[in-house]
Amino acid sequence: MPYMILPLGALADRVHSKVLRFVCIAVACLWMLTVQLPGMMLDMRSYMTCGITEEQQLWIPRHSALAFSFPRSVSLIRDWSRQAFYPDSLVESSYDGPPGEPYVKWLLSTPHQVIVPPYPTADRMDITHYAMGWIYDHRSNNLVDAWWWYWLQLGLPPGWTGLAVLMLVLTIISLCQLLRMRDETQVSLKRVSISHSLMWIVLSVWLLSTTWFAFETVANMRAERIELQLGESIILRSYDVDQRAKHPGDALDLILYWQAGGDAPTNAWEPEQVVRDAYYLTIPPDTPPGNYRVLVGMYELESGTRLPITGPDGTAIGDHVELSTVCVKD
Amino acid sequence: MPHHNPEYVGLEDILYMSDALQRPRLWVLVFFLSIYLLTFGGHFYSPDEDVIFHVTHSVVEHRSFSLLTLAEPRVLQFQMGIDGKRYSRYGWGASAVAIPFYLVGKWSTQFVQLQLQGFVARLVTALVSPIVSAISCVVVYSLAIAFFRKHKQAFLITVLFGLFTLTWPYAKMNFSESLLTMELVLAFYQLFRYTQDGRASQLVLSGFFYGLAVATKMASILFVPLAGLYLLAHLYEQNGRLAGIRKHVKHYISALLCWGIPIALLIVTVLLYNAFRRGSPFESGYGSAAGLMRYPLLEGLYGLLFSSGRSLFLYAVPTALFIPAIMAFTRSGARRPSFSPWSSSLTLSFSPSTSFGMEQAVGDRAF
Repeated sequence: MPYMILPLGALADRVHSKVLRFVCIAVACLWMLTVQLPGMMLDMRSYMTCGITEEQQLWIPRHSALAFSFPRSVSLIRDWSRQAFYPDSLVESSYDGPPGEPYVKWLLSTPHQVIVPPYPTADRMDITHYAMGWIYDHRSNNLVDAWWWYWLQLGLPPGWTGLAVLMLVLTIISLCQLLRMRDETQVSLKRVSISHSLMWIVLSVWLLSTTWFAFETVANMRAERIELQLGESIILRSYDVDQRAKHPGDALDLILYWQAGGDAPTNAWEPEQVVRDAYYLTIPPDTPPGNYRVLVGMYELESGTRLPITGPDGTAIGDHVELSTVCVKD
Repeated sequence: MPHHNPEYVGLEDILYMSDALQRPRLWVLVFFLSIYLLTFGGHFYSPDEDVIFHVTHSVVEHRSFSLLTLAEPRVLQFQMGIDGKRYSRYGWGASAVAIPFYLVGKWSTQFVQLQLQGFVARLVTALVSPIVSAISCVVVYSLAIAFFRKHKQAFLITVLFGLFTLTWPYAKMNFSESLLTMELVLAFYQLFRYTQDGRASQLVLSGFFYGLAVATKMASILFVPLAGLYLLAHLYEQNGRLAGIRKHVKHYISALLCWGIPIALLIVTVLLYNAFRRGSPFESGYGSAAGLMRYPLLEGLYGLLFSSGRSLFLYAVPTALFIPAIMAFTRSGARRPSFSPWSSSLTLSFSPSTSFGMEQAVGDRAF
């Protein structure tokens, strides 16, 4: 995109007509007010703001360049104004775009129509899993799609709102500074150039840390590809285990990847299919601190005995294998 | 080695401008960063963004590239690896750049209640986009100053780029487009600076950013040969004045090595990453390169330029003036930098491989 924008500077040099310049500025302002700003700021997922029902979404024209965005943007602004002044008046949709081709999936893919709902699929409310459902529940009447608006809606903590105000002030100050500067603006020549050195320092630190993470990750994942044979027809291909230290009562994620070989799979397994077998193991609350081994084995249903395990080179390992160690802290 | 050619910006000009422009560049950074942060969503809009986040999370917490989430496939898009694990479709670049942000986000979670921790972790991790977008604006401003030498003109171009194109919407989200834009713009900027200053470190940086762009989106590899041609053209022009073939060859080789080694190293990591996940170095998450052109070209081009969902002209209005602008730009004497608009056009012509144009040759979505 910058490659397509940069040459415009040369065009600006050649356009001397005031009328043409005025037209360009007018078009840009109109586009900004009707397409870009509503798309950026308004929460289009809210029917109250958007004014489009799911039924109407099915009739949004797919291939008409302006038919969709322009009327929708106008209706957004209209709805937005109405909601600001008469919060209870906006009951019915005000979108009146023409019926057209069926709605496919493009509505989800354009950056301006961010109507993909935050999927409320929280498995657990911690850092490792989705916590968007909680936010989703609190934003049914959202008007503005920005982080500080959520904090305002949630009423906490007030410092975040101050940060948004600071951003606004900085925007105004920097704009004033930039508009004040003239083409021949000169600043002190005493300045020491640090940007180049700073870039090298930031890159070096990032590169070293990323390389360290990459090597550790590759080493760990190679260790996790174990290819163990259980009995005659089951292969344990690899595993994923939560490496973090745990506290009593915490959960340990363990995922095993099995593959049935030959033609004697377990009841639901297809031959050669890799089966993802996820466990969510709760560490008992009375577990004393220490290091605990994570072992895995497989029982035969009829006999209740564990299947013998052999390594990739055919050596017998026993009837269970140690995958990892988990550290339980106080 | 600097050279003097009235057609281009000389070393003295660059030094003078870098002194004079320090504060304007700082204010440009503050201006765009403030706007991007004010309009920053703070949450994820699509499963694609979440996948990038999950890879960062897996690497930091579990030393694994696989997606450890228990979420169902309809929620989280993934590719099955050769070991049966679930992997991201994307390159490692975006997830790796997000690692420091993720660590800060994780640290921040201790200050909020439990049910908000996931939100805060994502909010801080997704700050990559507004920050790198603001940096892109600074680089565009610097390039515009180098090309046109006027502050107002450069600021106008930067505003057009930063607020009147997809740069702004992407700064709101956690897609890798913002990062890719910064990498490609910085890579070209460093290359351009090399043609002025002749510092080897600038070549290394340029190569590094091109390599990182490939690691972020494999389709960005399209830009590498074009940039290589640009470098060769510069070397040819510069070395025509040097006496002695031996010196000539040495200069060529050293410059190409400085630029090419970082790219090659990073491309090797991408191939290894692909091989580790998918069993083949050329199998990215987007499928093999052979599948890129399986969709009708004209339909893709139409979708890319005119459809209401993807139209370049609709969502980046100033690009409608691209053709007359590039003609004026070429006529104005700035011949060499004009390779970049043409490279952009080339990528556009490559990209209509899907009905919506930019799905697979994603490098150009940012450009």
